Amino acid sequence: MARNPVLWLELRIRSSEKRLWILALFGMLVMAAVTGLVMASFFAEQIYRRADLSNVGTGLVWACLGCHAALMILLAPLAGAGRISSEREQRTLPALLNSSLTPLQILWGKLVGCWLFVIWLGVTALPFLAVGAMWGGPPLAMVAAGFAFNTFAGLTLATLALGLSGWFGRSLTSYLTTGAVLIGWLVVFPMLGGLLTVLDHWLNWKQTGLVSYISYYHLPFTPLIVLGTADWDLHRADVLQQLGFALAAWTGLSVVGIILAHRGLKREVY
Amino acid sequence: MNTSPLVLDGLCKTYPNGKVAVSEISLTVEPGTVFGLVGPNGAGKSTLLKLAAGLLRPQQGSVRCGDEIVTGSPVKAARHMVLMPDPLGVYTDITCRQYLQFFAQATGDPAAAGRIPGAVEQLELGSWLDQEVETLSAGWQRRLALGRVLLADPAIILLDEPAAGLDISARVELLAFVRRLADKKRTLIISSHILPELEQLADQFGIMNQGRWVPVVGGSNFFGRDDLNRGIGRSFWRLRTTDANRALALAAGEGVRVHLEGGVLEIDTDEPTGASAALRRVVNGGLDVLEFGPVKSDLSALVLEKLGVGGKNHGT
Repeated sequence: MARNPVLWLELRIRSSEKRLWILALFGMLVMAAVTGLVMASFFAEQIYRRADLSNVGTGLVWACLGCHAALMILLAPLAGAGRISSEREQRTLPALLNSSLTPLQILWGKLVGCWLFVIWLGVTALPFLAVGAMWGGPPLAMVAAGFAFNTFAGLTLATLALGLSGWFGRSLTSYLTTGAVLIGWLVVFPMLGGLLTVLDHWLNWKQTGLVSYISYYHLPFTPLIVLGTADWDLHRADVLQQLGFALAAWTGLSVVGIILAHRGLKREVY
Repeated sequence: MNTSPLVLDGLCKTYPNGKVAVSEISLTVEPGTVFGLVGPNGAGKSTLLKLAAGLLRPQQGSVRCGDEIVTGSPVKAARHMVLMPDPLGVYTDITCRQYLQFFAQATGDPAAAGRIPGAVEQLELGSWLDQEVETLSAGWQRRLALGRVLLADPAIILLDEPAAGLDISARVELLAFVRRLADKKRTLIISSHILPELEQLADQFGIMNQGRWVPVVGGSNFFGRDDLNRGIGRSFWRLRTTDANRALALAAGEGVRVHLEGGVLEIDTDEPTGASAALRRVVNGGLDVLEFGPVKSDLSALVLEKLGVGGKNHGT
């Protein structure tokens, strides 16, 4: 993989893109602002009554993980969207394909390139999570799990966006389609879940679990909510099942993204 | 170096919108041949080159390099050939050095990186190496893209409109570059609208129109530079005498068409011997001959005539 020329090309192009640095800076600024707000609110509370300062760390960690999840959902698709369609748009795809590089090698180069971008975005959250952990946040394993789930969600979104970009000749179409898919996943599914929950209640189907699996547990931010709110002692098996379902769904979506991208690269070049 | 011919056999390509781009096209290009692909816009030339390079999959037919079928497989085709497409796409966010390094790696040939200094020298890219590609003019970008051809060093090179957008000096340099490739016995297929230059470069020509070959000489689809010099199956001669009007009356005969053009008799014959017979009649008629010689065909006029666009004459 390290010898894959497409990966090096991707890294060279991305490192010269202002977007990479601006987005990372934006992410860090948001995290810094959230950290500042959380700490300020705790210290303000301290003035009026004696608040438990050990909660500062917990609040900080969950606020930062929430921010991290939001940044991943919003920014990770940008890592993959348009990466293949821009090759078609700039007319560089014929030269790329007319080489010894197979579509699979090109795909891996691009995929690892956009994964590294996602991981780079994620790394910007680490200093703030470390501050939270130092102030007595939740167990380190919980912080690591939250970070890992967020990062995996980001990688899934980037892979899906890369797959969709393989099907379009114009980057704008690729970005718009990625946006539409995101809205479908993040908005339509929860709305459907709400509707199904109401119907379940009215019609007494008693299928709340199924509705939750169909509508909620695969969403990119759900594992973070589950991690933060679940009672591990009482529902350990259920929680693990829900988290496992999310991982399986994301793995499936990533595979779909990879297949789409590969097929897109094997398409004819007009 | 591969010494096998490139064989395109019965290629048919219809685009998803129903447009027939290439229909029953066959072509064999022998190693070391420079083939000039000529035709109007939309004739199917670029499609044919993309089919040859495996970037498009034909509905029928095959592409073969020696014993290897490379139809629809750009990776297999890349073992034998490099296509420089039109419009040309280059990565603009990297430096020229990085561009060359990338394509040296992409050839999969460990020796390709060693060819970078030679390519830089040959293309005179030295002063641009650390500049971003986007700062280069279109001509220099095209030159950089030719670096990809030099790094891959393939047996077969497909150039689609290589001179498009180049100024005169850049075209002259490109001509010299292509000539050097031809001297190195590379097989070249060049599609170009700049016919005078193509005429100088190519050994063999084919005219495409509406996805098919246009028959040129005796039902054959292809002709060589020698055929052009001989007038493509017909014989054109110019004759200047002391009395043009009498010469006009004397020269006419079976299979010989004559007409006056600015006091000079133009003779168009079906057989090469027809011109000498016409000359004999003029001399026997007592006229003095001031000038007599063949008129070479030129590619532009021939193409226009075969496409039904130009006049009857092949040129001067």
